[in-house]
Amino acid sequence: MLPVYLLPLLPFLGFLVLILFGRRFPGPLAGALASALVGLAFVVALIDFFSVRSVPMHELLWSWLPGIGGKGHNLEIGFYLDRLSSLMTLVVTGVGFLIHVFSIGYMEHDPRFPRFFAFLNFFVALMLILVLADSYPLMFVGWEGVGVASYLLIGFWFEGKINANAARKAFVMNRIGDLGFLLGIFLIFRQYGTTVLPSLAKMPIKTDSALELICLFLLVGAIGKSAQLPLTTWLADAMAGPTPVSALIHAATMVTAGVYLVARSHFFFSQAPVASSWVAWVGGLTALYGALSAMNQYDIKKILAYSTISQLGYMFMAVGVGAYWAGMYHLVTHAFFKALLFLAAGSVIHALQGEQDTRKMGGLAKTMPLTGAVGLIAVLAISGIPPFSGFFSKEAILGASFAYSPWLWAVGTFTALLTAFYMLRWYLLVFSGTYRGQAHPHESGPVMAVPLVALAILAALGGVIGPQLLGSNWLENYLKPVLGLPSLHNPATTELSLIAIAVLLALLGFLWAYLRYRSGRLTDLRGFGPISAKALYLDDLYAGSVASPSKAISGALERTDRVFGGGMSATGEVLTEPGRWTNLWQSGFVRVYALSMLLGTLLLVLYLAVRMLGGSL
Amino acid sequence: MISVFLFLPLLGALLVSLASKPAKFPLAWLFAAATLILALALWVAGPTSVSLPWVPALGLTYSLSMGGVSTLLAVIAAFMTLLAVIYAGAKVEGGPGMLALVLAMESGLLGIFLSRDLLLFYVFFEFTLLPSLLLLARFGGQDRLRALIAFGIYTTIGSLFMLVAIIALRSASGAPTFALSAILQATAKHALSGTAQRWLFLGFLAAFAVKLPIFPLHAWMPDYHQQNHPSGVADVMGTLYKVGGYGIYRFALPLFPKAAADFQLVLMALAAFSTLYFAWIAFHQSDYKRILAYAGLSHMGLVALGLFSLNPVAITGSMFLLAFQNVYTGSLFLAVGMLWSRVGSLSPDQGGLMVDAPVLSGLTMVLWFGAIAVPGLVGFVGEFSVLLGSYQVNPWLAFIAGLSIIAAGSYALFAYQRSFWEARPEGRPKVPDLGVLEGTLLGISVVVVGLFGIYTQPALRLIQPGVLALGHLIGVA
Repeated sequence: MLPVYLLPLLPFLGFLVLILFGRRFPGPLAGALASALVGLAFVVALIDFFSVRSVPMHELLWSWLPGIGGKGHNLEIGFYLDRLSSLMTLVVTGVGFLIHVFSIGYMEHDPRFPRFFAFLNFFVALMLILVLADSYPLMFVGWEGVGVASYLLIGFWFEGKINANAARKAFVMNRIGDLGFLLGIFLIFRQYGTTVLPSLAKMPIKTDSALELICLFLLVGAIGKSAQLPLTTWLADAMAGPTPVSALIHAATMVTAGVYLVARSHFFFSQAPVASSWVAWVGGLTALYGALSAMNQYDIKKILAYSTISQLGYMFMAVGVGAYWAGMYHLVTHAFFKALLFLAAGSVIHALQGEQDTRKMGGLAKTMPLTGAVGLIAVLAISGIPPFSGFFSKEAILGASFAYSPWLWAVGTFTALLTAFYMLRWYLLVFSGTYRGQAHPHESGPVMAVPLVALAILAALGGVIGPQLLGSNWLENYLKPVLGLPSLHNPATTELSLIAIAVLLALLGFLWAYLRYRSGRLTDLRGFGPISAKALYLDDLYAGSVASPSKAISGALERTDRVFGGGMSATGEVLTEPGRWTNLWQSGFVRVYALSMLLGTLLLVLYLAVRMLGGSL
Repeated sequence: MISVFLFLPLLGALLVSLASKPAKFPLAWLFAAATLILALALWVAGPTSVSLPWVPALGLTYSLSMGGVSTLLAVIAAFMTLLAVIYAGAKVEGGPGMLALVLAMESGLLGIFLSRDLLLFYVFFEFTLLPSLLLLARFGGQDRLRALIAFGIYTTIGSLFMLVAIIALRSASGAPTFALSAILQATAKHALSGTAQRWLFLGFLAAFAVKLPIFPLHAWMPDYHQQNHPSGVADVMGTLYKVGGYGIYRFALPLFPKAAADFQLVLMALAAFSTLYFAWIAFHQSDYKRILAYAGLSHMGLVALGLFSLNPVAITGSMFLLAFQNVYTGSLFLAVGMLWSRVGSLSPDQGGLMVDAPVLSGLTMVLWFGAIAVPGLVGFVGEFSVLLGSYQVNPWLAFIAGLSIIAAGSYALFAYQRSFWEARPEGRPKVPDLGVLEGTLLGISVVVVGLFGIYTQPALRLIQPGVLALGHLIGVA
């Protein structure tokens, strides 16, 4: 049994050393150091995994935030390792380690090699804080901390304006969710007088509207971090970062934090049926949205990005219908097969000197047999083909959602059909047929091959931790002491028919993709094509309805504020200043609006002040 | 000891102004460093105070006290002054000329934080205005006259209201002197009437709202920062001079608890609105000084929100935020000054500086993350506590103020991206990175911003007893 604080501390030390003295590490040394520290953290996680099976570990370090630690005490920084967080630490450090090793090969020619590993280590440290936090505010440290890491890594190649914009977009959209998380914390404190997780878990939680509101606030936070509807558009842009980053942060770990938040807060959500149904339906609709958007993408990573959005939707469905263990189950298997998919894509991009357009790929299974083989395993896993890992976890989710609502199940199952289609499309475009580009593809060295093989084994066999079919289900039993409730189960015959339907539909999706491939119409989706390619126009909608107006209002407020400097006499000047009336937002309307907002506030304040003064005069 | 501490910088200022040009800088930093050491020593030694009659005819006493929030603010003022002095003396052209004024201002600020006599407080409050006006007048930019007049008028008129209120308060309370303790004793025996409280409270508020500053009495501030010398030295001191929040905490709330409760909703609304309004405007600025000015104004909205919510967690957060925003806002002003000394412009539109100047870029980034309250850094502790505490009082206003965290992310990263990320336009000369001295100055601030973000105990130990006592006084423990 080793101290829990070692887990975040080890990678954080790596970050400090590499950011301060990065230039002193020649060649791949920085990558080796960073990988070794994450590997060491994995060993710690493994040792503690075995020791927390009986009793959770709760370490308190020192006091931190004023007055919110329960009974008016200051909140302490503390780490809480129970079965749930232990499972997460294994995924974060384990998959994190493999992706670190892969990056040594992938980033070998980058001039900012040590900085890359500094940021990766920073990410792992903050992700572990998120997972191990014993209170919501400390969890929020990890929560925004991984957002900062994500910002730094999406913008790692910051010379490109697209990358810089993508990084900023991810950060700001996440902050919208973060505000929800914060409000949730405030209301939790108001209702229960503490923000410490183990204390809250022991409290009697009654169903009431305040609790529903708490859960909805937390859901807003989870939506932001896990790129669910409507805060989903940043994740596709986040693909601007280096591919190992996409694998680690934007697929396997960070984006699943929303699922973890809901599972961690199961003591709230299980008593909040309305908020939980919101979780489930947000998940169901996002699963569908992601799949529809993935169908006509051409960028090898964007297809995977939308598929991540879709798979996260499945996890939200699971935790929404109360099958918290199934959500965690899919979180684990998804970490395996989606990290594998991204690393396979990385291997391809690396071999093609940065090419990401699938229309300039094809036939790579011949020149890159290992990458092709592991890619196929991952495709089978994500499509839910038995006995690959994704099959079991997806079945657990679909079964639970059928027991909750057949409509939700129908959405999930239809999404499974689409998933099989777009994933086989992905494989066929990249690995099958003849090569359509000009590079000379080749397999990379062992430092990239070994993580691929390791993840392929996990993606293929990782399902063994919790298949429902075999009666005794290890994962559900393992998590029961934490998550408590038995989840919904169907009668055996229903369960079997559900499985049969899902597998048949997945095969149908494959068949659909294959037939279109044979007839050369794989990339021709008729009228739906451009809709899917533009991800259902969500980005354009936000640009027009949120981004431009708020920029325009900012400008208008600014002008108005200068008027305050010059005295109110100049008010007329602003109103009459010749504007370009061609743009309603920019010139006329917004300025008047902003000014009246200001004047209105002022008048209201004056009125209230006068009334209060006058009351006793 | 406490008087030595208070007047040491002023003595330094006198000597520096008399000294020959090459002797100015060594003398100045010696005095600034000695003041910081004294501040730390006084902190370690624990609370002390003096109270002597000074001008009995007027009722003026020489009452000073070091302890609690005053200690925290004094230590931070001494720390930031030292950074400003070193930067000005070593790196700024014409900087040695600023040093005497900077030191004089330090004494004024310490006087503000340590005074426990209302008239004495008023004297220091006004005295500090002089060196800050002189800094602006002698080293400011082209439009400094306009900024100067606005600054002077706003401050003086606000202060006059306070002076009248101070005098009226003493006569209304029947206290023998202007000492805070005497007046509090008197009002504890015979509470002021509700009407008297309200009018006197408004008198104090007039001065403190200008110095917070808070909407709509803020208009002097963006111009003040923009017109001050681009090195950022004067801005560091100007940031420290935002003492309105302290004044409300130390005087307005304990003296007029009932009035504060009566006006609570209005004032919280005004503060919440300020927070969001200024953050929103900051997005549209094309001058780093103005961005920082509006960012600082937004923080001050939060300070006010926390104070007026009369909630212990929020007030603690307010004082924490007020103290530490000096560190990151002040250091960002210095960082902007370092940027200016390299590219000759205060515009964020530079592009790609991270390639040439990774140290400047990295340190600036951490300071910005501190300023936009990324948790784990020092800005978060204050902002989080203010928002959490005010949410307990009025969820909607906390929500409106909370929207500023989204706006803050936007304006900070948008400006940062255009300066340090993206590609550097063709033909721009290579930019030298920070030297050892500059890197150390910003680096120390970064350490403070990081350390006190997770290890808050030293600061909380200073703040919390005072807030607890205040809570008993105003009846919301």
